[in-house]
Amino acid sequence: MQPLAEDEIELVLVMVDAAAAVVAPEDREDLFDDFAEDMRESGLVPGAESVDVDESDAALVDGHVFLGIGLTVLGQIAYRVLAVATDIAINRGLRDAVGYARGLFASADGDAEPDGAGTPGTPGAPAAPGRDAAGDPPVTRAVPTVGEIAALVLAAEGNTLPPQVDPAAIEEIVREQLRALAEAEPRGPGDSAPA
Amino acid sequence: MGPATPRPREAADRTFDTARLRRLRGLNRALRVLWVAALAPLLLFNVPLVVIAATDGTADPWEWAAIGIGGVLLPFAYVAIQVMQGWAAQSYRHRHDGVKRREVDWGDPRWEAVRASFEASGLDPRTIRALSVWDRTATLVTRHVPRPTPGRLGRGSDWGVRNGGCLLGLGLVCGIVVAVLDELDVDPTDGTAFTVFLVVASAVVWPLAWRNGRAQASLNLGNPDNVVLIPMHWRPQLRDNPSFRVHLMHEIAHARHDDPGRRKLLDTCAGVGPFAVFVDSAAVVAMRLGDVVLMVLFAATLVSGIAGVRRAKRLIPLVQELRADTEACRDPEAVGHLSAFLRERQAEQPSHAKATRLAALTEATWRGPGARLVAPAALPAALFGLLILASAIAQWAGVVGSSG
Repeated sequence: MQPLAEDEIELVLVMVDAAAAVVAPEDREDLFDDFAEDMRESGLVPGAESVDVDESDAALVDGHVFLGIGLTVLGQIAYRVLAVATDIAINRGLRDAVGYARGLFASADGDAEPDGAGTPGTPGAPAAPGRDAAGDPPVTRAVPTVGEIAALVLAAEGNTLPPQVDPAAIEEIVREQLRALAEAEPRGPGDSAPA
Repeated sequence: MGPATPRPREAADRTFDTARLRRLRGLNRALRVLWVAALAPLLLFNVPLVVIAATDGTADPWEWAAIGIGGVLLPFAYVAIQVMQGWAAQSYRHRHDGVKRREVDWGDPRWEAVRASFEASGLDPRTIRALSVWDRTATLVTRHVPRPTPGRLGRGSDWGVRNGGCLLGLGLVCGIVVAVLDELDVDPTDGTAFTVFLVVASAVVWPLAWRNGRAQASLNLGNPDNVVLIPMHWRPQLRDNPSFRVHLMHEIAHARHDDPGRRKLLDTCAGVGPFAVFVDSAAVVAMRLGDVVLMVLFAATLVSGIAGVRRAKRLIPLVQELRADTEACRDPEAVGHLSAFLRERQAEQPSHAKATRLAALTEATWRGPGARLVAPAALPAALFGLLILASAIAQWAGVVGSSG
């Protein structure tokens, strides 16, 4: 995992915040400030790298204990979603991942312009795993659905995520994070004033 | 803590407390037995040396004294040096591995809720040192963090860790040079220059070694630093989930007894154990008996000695866990919480250790650990000790001839 640039860090934090509000509210309440502070300091997702274990450690129990989806897992997924979305955006000639995410939700909703308050109306429809490619996408090629992005994330991060996080959970997390990304302030190489 | 408890509850509490104390005594006894089993080969290191010296016919008491002292100092020095090198390496790694471990300030509002949860169990949080670390795969652990010697000795120790590879290489080169010179019949140790060098070097090195050894022993054995490493993602659970209180108590028990520090000692002692068994068996092999009998006795000595050491090495950490479980569970409710937790983990990832701990927690009469737990290590070690001592005494008393 490479250290992220400042604006990317903020995007990842926004995505983690949004996803945590849905899947990990206690962690978000207790830990998000520490998580954000740590991430801004180091540029890496805190907790993603496994730390050395001393052989003579007296552990509570042998083996791994899964306490639920935490901020680190959400951070790892957000990192990958941002990378995938940025790649797709660049391939399509869009400026950055935010632009792509907006296009994704706008096209799925059929709205002409993305609504800052989120996607009202049909919460289930935008991310349906079905093949309903958008009515009027900003680009002529078919837009990858959230499901497909989730599959890409799973393929890239599958080994580093805990096995208890199933593909359905990943898809839900990815959807929330893309939604948050769509609502974020777009930043690109030409932007001079970060929000 | 509330209205007066009814009598049956008081009686039940007393029964629980008595059983728990009896259990702790049993576990501490078991640990002592296991440690003797683990250290037996080192403790008996003297015996073959004395037997060989006696049967060689040297009656010089000074030589005897030297052998006796040497037989005690040698294993002690080996273990001390190995352990201190391990401490130096671990201390260096802890300070320089770049992992951000933050000291938990119990006064910090972010840890307030965990501290309150802790105090509700009746313990002062300031008695334990805790470090928080971001690590998704980590569990709550207690770690023995070796302290470096303050000042130049400590810095020298760090230098030694950094350049350990070079020092080993240098030693290798010196060894080859000495061997080559030996082949060429050149003896550099002849002559006063070498003696002077030896005296001066000793006068410089020995006091430093003594000072460093004493400092390290008092810093890391006498008052060891055992910290509880709390992964950050455990904090919400420690804060909100009262059943997690017992987990913290379990780690505190480990810290109080210096369990991680003892495990480091155990690693070194058990590591050299098989070699010491082999050396000790010279006491048996020196007897003048029939070849077949000698082979059988030799094999029995080796097998029992090595089995005793290896099993003790495996069992001591397990008994430490049982003791920590017993200390952590101060009432039947805590037993329930810990058993539920272990049961869930056992279902996910079965292991012998979890099964033993679960059985110990849930057994109906909550008796002590019993000989069943300790016997696999104690019996072979006892046989080993018996063989060594009996052989030595037999040769001493002249009952059996000795081939020295």
